[in-house]
Amino acid sequence: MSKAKTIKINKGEETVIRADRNLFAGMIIIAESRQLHMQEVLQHSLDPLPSSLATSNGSSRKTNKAQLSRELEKLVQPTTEIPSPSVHVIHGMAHVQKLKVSDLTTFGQIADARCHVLQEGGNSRRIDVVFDVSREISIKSAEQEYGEKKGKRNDEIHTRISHPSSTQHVAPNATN
Amino acid sequence: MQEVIELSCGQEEAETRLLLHAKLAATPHVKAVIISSEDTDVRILYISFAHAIPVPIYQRCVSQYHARYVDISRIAGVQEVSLALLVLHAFTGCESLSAFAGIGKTKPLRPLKLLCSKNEFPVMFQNLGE
Repeated sequence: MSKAKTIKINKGEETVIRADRNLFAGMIIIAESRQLHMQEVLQHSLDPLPSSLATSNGSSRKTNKAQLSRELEKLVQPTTEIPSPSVHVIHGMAHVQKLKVSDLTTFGQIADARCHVLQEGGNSRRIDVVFDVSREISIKSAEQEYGEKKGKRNDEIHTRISHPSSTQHVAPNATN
Repeated sequence: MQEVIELSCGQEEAETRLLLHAKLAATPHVKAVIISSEDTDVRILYISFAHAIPVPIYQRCVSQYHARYVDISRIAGVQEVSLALLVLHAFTGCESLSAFAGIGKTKPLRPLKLLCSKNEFPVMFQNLGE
């Protein structure tokens, strides 16, 4: 990962140097004017990471995933009629992240808010709630770092409700 | 309380494990599986593996107070590239993968649709990484 470096120029002013392409372009021009062997200079990579895959601060390039999702959704008409009997599979963590924690102060209130989630599966014969598994070394570490930077993910909830046993089973609805 | 052995797997993300739950829940008398998650990864995984689940799949999306259902099985049917979609998703940048600069997310989808008649590119994407 490349870091922004600060250098001091005269009178104690400070300028930040970033490892971007313009800087390297400038360095190549300098190298050329000093008659270094271009072949040798350009044998070395300009960035610590290839700029086609990483941004200048070292994180990986991301695309807008929802765009693809929208394109796919355009292919079909949205339905309102769902054949019955149906089963419900709920992404637990996605629902937890949607909760407005600022209004909730106790675990009890969070639990109550979670119960509303189960109402949407009221017509279903079976509800599966699936959670992420928490592991110390995880493929998600990098993603969480990215989320923190963007301030998207609420890590407060992550630590509060992450639970090692991940599969909750709710018995078939009594009314059905 | 009892453990369901069929559901035990090494996947840590709920997105992938949702598939396993849907597969197990899709017993013969069930007419629909509803997935409650708006995630793009979930949608793409389900479109790619819709053929393995014998029941129509609907994805429940909530905007404000209004819920709509997206017919995943129908997308999987319409879209000849549905098998190539998973690799396309990874290729254009997903959670743990970096994207190529300047390609974007939907740009590759349009030519892919056009070239579907040729059958060459979807096959290429399907075979990528196999």
